[in-house]
Amino acid sequence: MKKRFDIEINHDWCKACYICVKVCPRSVFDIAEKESHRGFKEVTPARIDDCIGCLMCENLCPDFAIEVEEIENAVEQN
Amino acid sequence: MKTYMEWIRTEFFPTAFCPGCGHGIILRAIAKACDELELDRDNVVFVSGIGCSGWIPSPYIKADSIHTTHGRAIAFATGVKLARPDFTVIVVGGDGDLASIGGNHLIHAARRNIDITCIMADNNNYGMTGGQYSPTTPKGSKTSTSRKGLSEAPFDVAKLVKSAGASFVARYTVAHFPQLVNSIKKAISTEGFSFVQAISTCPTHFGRRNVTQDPYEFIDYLKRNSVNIKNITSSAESMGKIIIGEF
Amino acid sequence: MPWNRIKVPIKSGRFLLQGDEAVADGAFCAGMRFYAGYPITPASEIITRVQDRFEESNEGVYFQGEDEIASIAACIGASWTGTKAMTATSGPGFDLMVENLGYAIFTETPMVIVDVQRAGPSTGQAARPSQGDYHQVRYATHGDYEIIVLSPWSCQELFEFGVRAFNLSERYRVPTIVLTDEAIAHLREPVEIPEEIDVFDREHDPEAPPFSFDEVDASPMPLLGDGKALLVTGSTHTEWGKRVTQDPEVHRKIVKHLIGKISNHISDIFETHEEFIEDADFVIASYGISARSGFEAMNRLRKKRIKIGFFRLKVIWPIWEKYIIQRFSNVKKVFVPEMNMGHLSSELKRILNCEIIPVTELGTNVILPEEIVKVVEENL
Repeated sequence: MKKRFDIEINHDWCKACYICVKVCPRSVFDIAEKESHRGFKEVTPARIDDCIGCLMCENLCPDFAIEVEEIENAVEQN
Repeated sequence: MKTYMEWIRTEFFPTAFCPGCGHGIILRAIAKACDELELDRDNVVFVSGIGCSGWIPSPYIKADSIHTTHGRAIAFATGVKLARPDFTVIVVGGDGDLASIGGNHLIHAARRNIDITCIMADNNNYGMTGGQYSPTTPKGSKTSTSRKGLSEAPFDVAKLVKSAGASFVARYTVAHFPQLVNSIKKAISTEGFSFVQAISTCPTHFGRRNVTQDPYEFIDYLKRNSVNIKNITSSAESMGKIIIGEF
Repeated sequence: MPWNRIKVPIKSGRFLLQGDEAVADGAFCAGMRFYAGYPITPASEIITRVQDRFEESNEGVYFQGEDEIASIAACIGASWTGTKAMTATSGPGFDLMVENLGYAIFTETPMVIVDVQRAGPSTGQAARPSQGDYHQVRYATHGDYEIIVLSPWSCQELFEFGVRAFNLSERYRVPTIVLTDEAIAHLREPVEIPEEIDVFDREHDPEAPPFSFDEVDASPMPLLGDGKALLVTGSTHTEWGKRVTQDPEVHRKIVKHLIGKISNHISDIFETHEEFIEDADFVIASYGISARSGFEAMNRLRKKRIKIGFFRLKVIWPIWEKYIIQRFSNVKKVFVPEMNMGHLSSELKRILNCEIIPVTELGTNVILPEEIVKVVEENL
């Protein structure tokens, strides 16, 4: 019965401090190799299936740029 | 969207804080605490002073806010609370703001034990003006006004406020997010003067010169370098550590 | 309507009052229900009287701040809840209030400050009168702005100006100062408390933006608790209180509003007391305590058939230059008694082309009528 999560990143608010990347206990995030139009190497939740919903990334994001939501129906489907 | 986002003015985002600044985490903690307490937003007044900390409630919290002069937030808040005792009044200030230029107002509010909640976003220096030392900068720290290491000793602001008569005093760091939220909730719920010292990160100035410029490494440092007041059995254990918990 | 004729909440009639008591009573009648202050000679009697009024009416909150900085700050906080607030002090305390006076000006916060002048600079002579704060009350804080300062010459006027200061402050959303001095504040005189007074209560509009760019008038004021998530700030701001700290255009607009809302209404604000100006070759121009001696000097000189008039500023700031130029158009010499080195004198020298002769007295004794008569006679 594995819970599944959706991670939304707001790239307009993110300032690329990478706290989320480093704080994640499951290394869910990747950093893009190229800079975006804002001059940041954007963060992507590359391994979203590994997310355990601990909210460390969301809570410690100083820019409110990450939102972790549990996908409610996912538990039943599994 | 999380319900606490109703307390945030996202129209002013991205925030004015530097990348990795811990003040954004304190902003979230305050919003979360207000949301979980189900406060009536129309009866909550935030009062802030000058410096990076002043931006936390003003403009980022969606409630009435008065952004005042440097150090005077508590004095303005006292007027609001005396005139409207039914309001929940929350002061957010910095270490320079509340403990240096506003130090007198802080200890007198604690002495009066007026029903105000005061959250000190403590980044150990004056971030906005270029990283000068503040009354909470640890001895020996390098800042733009103590280049060879600070010779002055800091205030233990939590103890100072406690001994001045505050009802509730806690200290946590931004690395202790759930505890920080809980302590802010307790502070707001406690009658009388409540004080939460929220140790923040300033990767741009204090961190760069003394800890690390890396926002995550800074948070990790706070976590590793803190000891809960409940777990201290000898003074040696707390030497050079950040003592967290309720005082 | 913001203007209301109200029955005074205290006993009307004729009473022997000290100046400090009279101004406290006037403020209370005008609706002052928040007072914050720090003990200082010669203003300390005001908080005592305010306490009496609050306690007997069971209304109002008073607060002794840890200093004058906290006292004025608390008044500003209280004012944003819709409570009429006042503080009182003297020179050394006014010095400390200046920082937040600037905040009150920029945030357009109605409130009243009573400055009971004593001899300075610094601690000076605490229990001796002075008029040395004439320019300080106008130019105290940094930046450009207008401010309203009333100058009573009697205990009766201290009562009346206690009311008027609040009316002007609420009308124009500007901190208003009652500038008195130790001599009047500690004087006891009969004061007539009327049965009814006219009171202006600020226009409260919960939907209105907290600030304005209007160049000619003050704007309505929303309050804390209106449910509109107000943004109040002493940084340069838009009408909605959004901080805009890098935009010269916004700054120009907001400062022009601070000035325009007052300068465009100078005929409503400015007030004088004049005698024999029409036929006067000479005029004694003064304000406050020194004007009392000036008035007596004028009477003595008139008896000697000297064509001398009397011109007293009841409002010292803003000063209505055009009006003064017009009223003094036929005057040859102006004698200006005041308890300083010549503050009003310097203003009049700036405004008028005729000869201005200061009659100064420093910090110890009130200027006597005979001293003024002597200077006038020597200079005719």
